Amino acid sequence: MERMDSNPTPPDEHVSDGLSSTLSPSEVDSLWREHRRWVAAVILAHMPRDADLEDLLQDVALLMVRSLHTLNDLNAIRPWLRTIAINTSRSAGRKRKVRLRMRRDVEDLDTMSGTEAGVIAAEKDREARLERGRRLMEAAQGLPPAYREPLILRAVRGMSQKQVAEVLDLPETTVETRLVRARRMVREQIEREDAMPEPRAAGSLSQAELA
Amino acid sequence: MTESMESQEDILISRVIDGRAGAEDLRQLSALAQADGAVWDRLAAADADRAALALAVEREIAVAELIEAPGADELEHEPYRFVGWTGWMGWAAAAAVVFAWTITGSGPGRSNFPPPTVQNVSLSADDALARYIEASKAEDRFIRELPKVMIESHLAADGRATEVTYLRQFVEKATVDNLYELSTDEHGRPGAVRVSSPIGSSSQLY
Repeated sequence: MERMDSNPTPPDEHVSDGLSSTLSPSEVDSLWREHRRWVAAVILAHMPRDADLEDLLQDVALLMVRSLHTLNDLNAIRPWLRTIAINTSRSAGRKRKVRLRMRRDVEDLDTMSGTEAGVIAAEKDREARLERGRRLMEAAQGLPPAYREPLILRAVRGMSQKQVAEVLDLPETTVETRLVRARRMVREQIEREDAMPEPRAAGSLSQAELA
Repeated sequence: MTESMESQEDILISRVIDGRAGAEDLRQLSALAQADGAVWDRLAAADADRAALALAVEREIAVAELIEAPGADELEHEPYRFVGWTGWMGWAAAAAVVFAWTITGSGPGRSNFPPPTVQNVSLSADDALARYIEASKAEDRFIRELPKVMIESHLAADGRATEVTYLRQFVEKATVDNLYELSTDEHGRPGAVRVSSPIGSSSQLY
């Protein structure tokens, strides 16, 4: 596993004005908009299961804006933001909020219109994909972080393997290897689950067992 | 298990579904599929899983679109702090004097602390305070800690120890743009009044 830098910010004495003095507020805003989706994915990969992604993302946004003065090189922003996201995730309290609004939007987008039969088929297909996605996500979240994070980051729309490597500060070849293994581990986990007998309801013992 | 244990088939399939497969990768995959036709099924299943996971991740992170970076105005308001030393302490002989300031550089409310780190998120309160004092000294803000003042004491819940409630105070300094005093007008209504000249020594705060 790669070494995790405990502090993304260099000591203040080595910092001049950092980026915060050269970026306008709208540029800072654009910077956040450019990175917030994959930052959310990093949080998703590291936060406790019952933490609230939205809250944590807000914390990261605040920390980013507050701490930009410690960052001198815009090229280093991905690993820098990732470290903030990981630290924020790890410090997450156990808060829970329902976050359905955006999910609903995404699901709505996912079901495009067509003929009635086509819609029904698309709906069934969507449900199957959602269920499969839920299981894959659950299995992915059970992976060791070194495999979990690249797999989830790679699933972010528009996130290339090269960008994942930049965020993780790893060679692309390492990311590729981890992706291959992560996919295999997830697949095997689901195959194991599928091979397990379904739990029976209480009182459903067979005749042989009753005898 | 070592990473070299991944099968050639897994690597090739992963490249294909990631859109990174070159001509040679596709040739090798075809060669594998000639020996085992199920390779294509596994490729299709892997690609379906990639799409399903992508959908699941997108659903989770969609909330990111709602989160905006805090605006400069939001941050600028944050450093304002009312410090109700005298009113809260009850040490003032005169009417409570409350000060507010706007910070230029370092000072209360404008932390130069780095974001939470792996180490400091799990610090004890004492360790965190020690770090605060250290950083505050480095910023030339911290002057000294005053002796603790006991407010009350009573028998602890275990019936043996004594639980003490005490006041812990630090003397700090800050460079301020504007200094306001909470005062009352001729009708007795409270309001902030800008202090036009320095008010003297710190002892007047008490």
